[in-house]
Amino acid sequence: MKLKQLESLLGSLQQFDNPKIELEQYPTGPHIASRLLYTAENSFGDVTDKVVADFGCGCGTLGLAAALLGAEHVIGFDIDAESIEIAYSNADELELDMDFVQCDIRNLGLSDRNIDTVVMNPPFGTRKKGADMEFLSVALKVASQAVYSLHKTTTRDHIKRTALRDYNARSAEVVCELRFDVPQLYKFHKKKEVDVAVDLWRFVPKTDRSKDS
Amino acid sequence: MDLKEEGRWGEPKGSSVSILARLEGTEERSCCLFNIFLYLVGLSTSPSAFCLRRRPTPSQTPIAAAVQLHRGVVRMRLLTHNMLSSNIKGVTNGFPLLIEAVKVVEKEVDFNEDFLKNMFVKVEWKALVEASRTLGYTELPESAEASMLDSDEFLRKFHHALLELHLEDGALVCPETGRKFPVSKGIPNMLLHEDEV
Ligand SMILES: C[S@@+](CC[C@H](N)C(=O)[O-])C[C@H]1O[C@@H](n2cnc3c(N)ncnc32)[C@H](O)[C@@H]1O
Repeated sequence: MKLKQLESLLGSLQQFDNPKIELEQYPTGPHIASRLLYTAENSFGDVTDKVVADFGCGCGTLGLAAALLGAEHVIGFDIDAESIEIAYSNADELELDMDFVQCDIRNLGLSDRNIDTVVMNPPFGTRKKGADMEFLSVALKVASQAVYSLHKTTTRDHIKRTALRDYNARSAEVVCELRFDVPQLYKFHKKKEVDVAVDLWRFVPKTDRSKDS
Repeated sequence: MDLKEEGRWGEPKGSSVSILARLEGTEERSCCLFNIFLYLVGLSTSPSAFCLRRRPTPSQTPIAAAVQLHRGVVRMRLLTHNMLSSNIKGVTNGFPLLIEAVKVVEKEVDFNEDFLKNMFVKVEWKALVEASRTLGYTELPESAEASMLDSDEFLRKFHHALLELHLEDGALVCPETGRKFPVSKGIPNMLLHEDEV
């Protein structure tokens, strides 16, 4: 699949009707979502034929992009039933198989054996400090191959240090620096658009966990 | 809303062709209309009443259109079940979750030998055997070892249990406490109550 095709398919997806502030619900636009997954597959081989988990899947954009690129099994995890409902119909619309689990990522019982790659656009923690770090910590526990994630550029050093020191990461690299134009979704945003610098990260988990027995 | 890109993306190795084939394939579906009919008129209580099948060869039969109505996409697979456990406070062994099956759906998907061989070392075999039995599929051997991967017959069964059986409605049950996590439309609700975390 061509990048352009992927981007335009993702552009057709339905997004949050009533975004919930406390859950930091804003979608990853088709431009970045398509490039994130395209890079994951074409530069690193982390998608096709893999088991891919989408943490905080919202309306399913990242997970469905993985499915479009030939992931063998995709699971979306989100705390919010309404978002999953939308993701569900997006999957139907594209006739793609994607499983969903409604859960709180922070206290989910999830095995570290089956998932190859985690893709996520976690809550940046603007409402609840450290929310993105909680996602990252879980992602690095369960992924066996790679974790792709978006985090604010201002937290770059902290993320690298914490991932390597505390979260079982073998490597943590910024793949790309982005500007995230968050339009005025919420009333407390005074300006029309809030421009946030965001990094796309690729983390590789340590593999010394015993995986086979 | 969109994100603007600054900086460079990794160099692509080339585009993947197989996905296009996959997408086209999904349009060529037919189904066991008779089963659905039986189910609808209430004559069948079999958990495998629905049976969506993708045709191996493309065809433009009117039946394909009927599946459109049905939307074709089903969930939850036993591969997903195989990685979930009950994480209720105090529970020491929340795996595997037991299954209460109310509605089970089958759907054929492409057979991917390499994927299965890869997954074989990763899945909890016993849990998969138990789960597939609960869904009415009894073909998996009690125990399995890597040498069996040479058998096409074995791989087909493994493939079917792992990827083609879906729990559409029912519940996942914590093996220690009996707490039920409802599954509806193929989506398990694993949210814990406040006093469970
Ligand atoms: C920034 S949005 C990203 C949405 C989607 N992945 C996308 O890229 O378009 C974050 C998502 O995380 C979900 N979320 C927030 N807190 C969560 C938690 N504790 N557990 C699971 N999901 C959560 C929200 O419901 C929301 O859908």
